[in-house]
Amino acid sequence: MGFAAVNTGNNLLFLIVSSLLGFMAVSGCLGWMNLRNLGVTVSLPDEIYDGKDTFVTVRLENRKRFLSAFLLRVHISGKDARFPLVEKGCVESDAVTLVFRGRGSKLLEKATVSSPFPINFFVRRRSVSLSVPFTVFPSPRECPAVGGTGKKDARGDAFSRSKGFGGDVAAIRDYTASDPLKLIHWRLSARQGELKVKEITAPSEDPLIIDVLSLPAGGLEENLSCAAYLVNRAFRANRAVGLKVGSRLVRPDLSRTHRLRLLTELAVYGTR
Amino acid sequence: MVHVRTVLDILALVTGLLGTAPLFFHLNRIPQFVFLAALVFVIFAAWKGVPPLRGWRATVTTGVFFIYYALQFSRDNLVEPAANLLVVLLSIRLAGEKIPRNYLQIYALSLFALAASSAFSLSGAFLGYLGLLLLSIAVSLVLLTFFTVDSRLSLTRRGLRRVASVAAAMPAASAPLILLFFVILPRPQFPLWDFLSPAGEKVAGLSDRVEPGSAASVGEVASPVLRARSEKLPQKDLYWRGVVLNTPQGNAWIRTEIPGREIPPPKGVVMVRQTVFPETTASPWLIALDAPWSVSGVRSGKSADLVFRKRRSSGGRLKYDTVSAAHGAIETKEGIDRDFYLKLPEKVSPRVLSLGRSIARQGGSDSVRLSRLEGYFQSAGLRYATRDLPRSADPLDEFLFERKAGHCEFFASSFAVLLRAAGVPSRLVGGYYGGEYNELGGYYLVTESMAHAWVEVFLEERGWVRRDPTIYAVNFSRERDGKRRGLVATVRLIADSMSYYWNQTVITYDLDKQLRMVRATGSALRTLSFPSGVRRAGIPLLVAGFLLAVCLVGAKRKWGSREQRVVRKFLRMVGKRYPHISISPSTGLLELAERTGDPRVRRFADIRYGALYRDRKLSERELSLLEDITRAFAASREIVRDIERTSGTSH
Repeated sequence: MGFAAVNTGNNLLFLIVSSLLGFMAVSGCLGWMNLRNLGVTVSLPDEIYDGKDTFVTVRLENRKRFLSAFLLRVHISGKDARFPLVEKGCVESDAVTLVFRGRGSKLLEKATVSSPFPINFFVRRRSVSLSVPFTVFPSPRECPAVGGTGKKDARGDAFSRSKGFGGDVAAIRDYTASDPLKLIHWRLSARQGELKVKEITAPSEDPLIIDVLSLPAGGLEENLSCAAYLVNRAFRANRAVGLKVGSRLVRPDLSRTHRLRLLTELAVYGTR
Repeated sequence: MVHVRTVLDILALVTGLLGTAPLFFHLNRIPQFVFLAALVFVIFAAWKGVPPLRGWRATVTTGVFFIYYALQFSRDNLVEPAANLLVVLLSIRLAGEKIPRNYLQIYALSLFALAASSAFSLSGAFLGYLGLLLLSIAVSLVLLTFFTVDSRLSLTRRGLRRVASVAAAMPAASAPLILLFFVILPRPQFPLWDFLSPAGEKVAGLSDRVEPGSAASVGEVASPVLRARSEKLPQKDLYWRGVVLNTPQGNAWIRTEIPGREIPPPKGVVMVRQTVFPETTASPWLIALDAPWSVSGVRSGKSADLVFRKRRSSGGRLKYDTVSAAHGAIETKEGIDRDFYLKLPEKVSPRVLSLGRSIARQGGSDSVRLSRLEGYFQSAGLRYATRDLPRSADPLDEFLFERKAGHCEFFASSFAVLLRAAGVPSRLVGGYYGGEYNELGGYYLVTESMAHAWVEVFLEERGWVRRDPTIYAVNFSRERDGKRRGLVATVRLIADSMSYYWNQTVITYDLDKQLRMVRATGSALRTLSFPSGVRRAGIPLLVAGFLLAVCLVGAKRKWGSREQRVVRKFLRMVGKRYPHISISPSTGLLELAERTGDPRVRRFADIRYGALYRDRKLSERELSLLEDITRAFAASREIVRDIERTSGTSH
């Protein structure tokens, strides 16, 4: 078109060429503005296992005053979260499945925001700093049951400190509104004139301490994987579990925070 | 929800229409038919769910048309086959299957079609079409980007509105850039391929032959011939000189180039300067106000009888400057070839000849004979008419003695023949008479309907003198094209002004104008001056204001907003008041309130988080409160320090 304009000196062709150039410049500007004033935050779950699918929520905030943001793609660790339209001042979220390789403490440093907007001739990119620390736990790998009493019916040998439904009566106390009806001790209630309930323990086993390095799985990584499996299995079985890694000993406990602490110990072992 | 694909299809149709519309009436029948058929097919297919044209059918159709038009290409016939082919290709694309690439082809072909239309018409409507086309293409391209990302994407109406409004803002935002690029894009001094820009609907223009009696009637075409930027002149002076016809041939008058020395311009006469913007015509004559002494701004040749002829047949628009002496005479010092200007047509009717001879027989000078002939015309009862014109073998005889009605060519032609018969040298001038003065634009509009012919008579003492025998018609009115008023006339006036400015600013913009603009800007910058008061006070103020603005922006960047500043200061105060508590930028206010147990910190946190967690900014009142708390905190710290100091000294 420019060639035709120069060759013919026809000003209407010059007008078309000028329009196209002007249009390209404005579209370039618009594409640049589209990627400005964006906030990307990533929410990682607190349990991330080596080599396992992990759902990650990506939130994109459009902090622009006047313009909506269009056709954005947030690229994190090889996967894309897509945001066709984020209105001005709004936040949208999308979930991506990521797989993290290698255990240990890691840092999700940055994400790349890209967009072909407004016209699909170029794709613009911009890096956004994330700096999200996270820990990848060893991938749990099944290994032979160890550390039990060896008996098949060992479950129920010990009483858990937490309440449950499968054990023996541990105590009798006054009824509260949150107690299930089946726990009411009718005979005692009739005798005493007010509602009494039974507190029943959950079936449990003796606390378990896993000595990671003497597990029979093989190398260090295999042992760590095996330990992660055992930790999770023990918690599912409502069994207090502790850890012995080298010279470091973590006492047995039952809380979720404790379990994450154990898994973190396994994750970072030997990496610091 | 709206499917992006549906919107894209509708916009493709609109884009195709906008590209083809300005070209449509310049196309051959086949592309016209193909385009209309494609439109009908697209609408019908969308309505009935018929599959689009695809596969080998589309390819073969394209191939056949391509070969058909390729065979018509030649150096002299390049634009027309190209335009026809463009529209056919566009039609096939519109009717065909559409993947993202095809949509892009439709936009490109539409733009090319619009570009091709500029080879046929230079009308200002082009700008309107271009604007709409850009708008349609901008929205389409943005939606196409969405479509490319996900071909089954649907948008909510609100989302679609958002996308469309941002896309539509693009052509609007690019307007200043378009203007800038238009002004600065390099223009060639001469177009390389001038044949590609034959430019425009040509008006007939001046004929180099006057032949009264060749048609029973003449049309009144109001298409513009030229616009001349000029001061307002008396109506009687508005003779626009084109060509001088000096030789009778049968019933016609033609032009014979005569050698002669250039005549110097008259002295003591007021010269009128004009800039003429002619419409593109096939005629080679440059028209200027009678009598033109110079024409500049275009390469032209000047004859001794003040006829200016274009040197190159330029396709594009012209403009030229003229200098004229509008007093109706051309003085010649050297005399003329009288025999040449007394030559009569081979066949002159006896009645005409005897009338001329009788005037001659009465004797007297040339000017006396001229007066006698004028007296005859005044008393002959001739009428001006454009219908039922004399068409016999001798139309002048019929005009003078039988019908006594004719248009300017009859009047001028018979007047000149009679003068020559009476022994007075004369010649015919073809041009235009009158002109509508456009007060808005300050120019005269001369239209085809103002075409006129008059006579120049040679008088020894004065030179060639203009005489318009048509004014002796009994029904003559000098204002015949003069004053037309009313709404329609006003609208026409405004429309013509727009057309004038369009031609002046856009169509005739060239290298010369570019250079002049650069020179003007350069000299304006060199001579840039302010009144001394402004220079003394204004410039330092301007500089100070600019520095202040830079500092403010810098300060805001460095120290943050008022809210950030007050929070920072408060944390600093808390840090000093409770030195045992470590405070980092990430320490939360609530956490701090808990650790210090200080109710003022708690209050501060409540106010700040009250706004933060409701996703709103702190109000002016809340900000003042925070500042008050910070001040109070600082004051109490001073008191504590004073107490500590006093107790320290008392020890």
